[in-house]
Amino acid sequence: MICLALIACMLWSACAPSLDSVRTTAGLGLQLSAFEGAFDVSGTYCQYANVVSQPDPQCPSLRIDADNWHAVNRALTGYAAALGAMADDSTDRNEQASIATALGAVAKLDQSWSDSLNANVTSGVSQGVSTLISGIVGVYRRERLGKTIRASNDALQAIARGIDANVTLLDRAEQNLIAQIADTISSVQIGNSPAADRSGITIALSSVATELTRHRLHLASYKAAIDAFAKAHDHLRKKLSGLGDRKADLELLKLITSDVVTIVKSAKTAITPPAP
Amino acid sequence: MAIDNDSLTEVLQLAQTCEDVARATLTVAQNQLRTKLIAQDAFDQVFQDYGVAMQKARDMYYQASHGLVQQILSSTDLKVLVIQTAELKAALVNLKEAEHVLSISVGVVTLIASVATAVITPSSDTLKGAVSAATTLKQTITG
Repeated sequence: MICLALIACMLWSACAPSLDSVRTTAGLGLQLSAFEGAFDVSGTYCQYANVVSQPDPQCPSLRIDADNWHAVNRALTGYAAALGAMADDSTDRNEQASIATALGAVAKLDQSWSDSLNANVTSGVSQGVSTLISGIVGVYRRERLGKTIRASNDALQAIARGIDANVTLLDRAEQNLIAQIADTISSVQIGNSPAADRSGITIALSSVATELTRHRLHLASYKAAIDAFAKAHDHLRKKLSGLGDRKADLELLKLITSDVVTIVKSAKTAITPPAP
Repeated sequence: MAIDNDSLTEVLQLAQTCEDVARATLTVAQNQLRTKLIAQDAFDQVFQDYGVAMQKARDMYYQASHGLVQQILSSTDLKVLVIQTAELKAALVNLKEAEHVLSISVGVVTLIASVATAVITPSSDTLKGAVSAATTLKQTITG
């Protein structure tokens, strides 16, 4: 999905003068909007964990953080839209400017974080969000582009680290649950309950495992998307002097494309099924 | 103090090995139930222990990203624990028939709960407790 978006972005921006790398980076960031609810795990995960054992002690914390992660995602997407709007300020009515303004207004973190993650990580995320929001507000003109990229890069990297850490935490926990479901199914099969019970329980458990597996894939895609955006932005930051120059921009675009392909490939291999 | 990625990976690996130990014990019990070496009620007990152990392993994943973990990573007790837990996993995989699977199952829960305590509230005492639980389990397995 990310590769297709990248190609679409490149085609869309092919006629524009020498800011293709910024437009492509903005396009990568806009992809993050699909993941706003990626950390809403109070559904299948917490329900299942509560049913099979004592109520999961982590679930209340995960629920506390869910709203914050929504705001983080809006700040990221709003910032990406702002980047896109700044790179293309020639039209009277810029749709991306409207998106950026709207998302920036609803991206503030209103709650404190749970202690699920290292406090340094969540503090970096919170500071990162407020920095990104300050880049979203104001007019969307190319003159602001370099300064905004420079001022926002550390913030974006800190947010990416926070999302990566939360993905790691949840992915491990979900992998644990999927393994437990597989073991429960095999235990039911060799038990002495009636055949119909064994079949019914197996079918029900398999559907839960499928849903958890689907969520793990979603988390892996989120990680790939944020890592790709953060990496592309980091390249922009390092090559700011080349922005506007067609040749330098093309080289930067190649670098970004190559990194995105690598990140997406490694995200796919990172998802390994639990041992049977 | 932020935890570095290598340290985090090490603790996550320990949690994974604990999970593997729990699953290996269940596999032993499953094989015994299949060949009627143990009764269903004995298997049910092992299965319940397994559920508790998996929950404790899950707790470790949650806590592994805390800065607190940093305090125990340089501990020699942790290194011993990592080695011992890996050895236990290997011993359990090779265990085909064990009359004392219930004792092993209880030992596994005790071990994983102790490791979880050491990860969540790291101190010299909690780590020593985990190492001690690993040693006891090893003795139970080898008879």
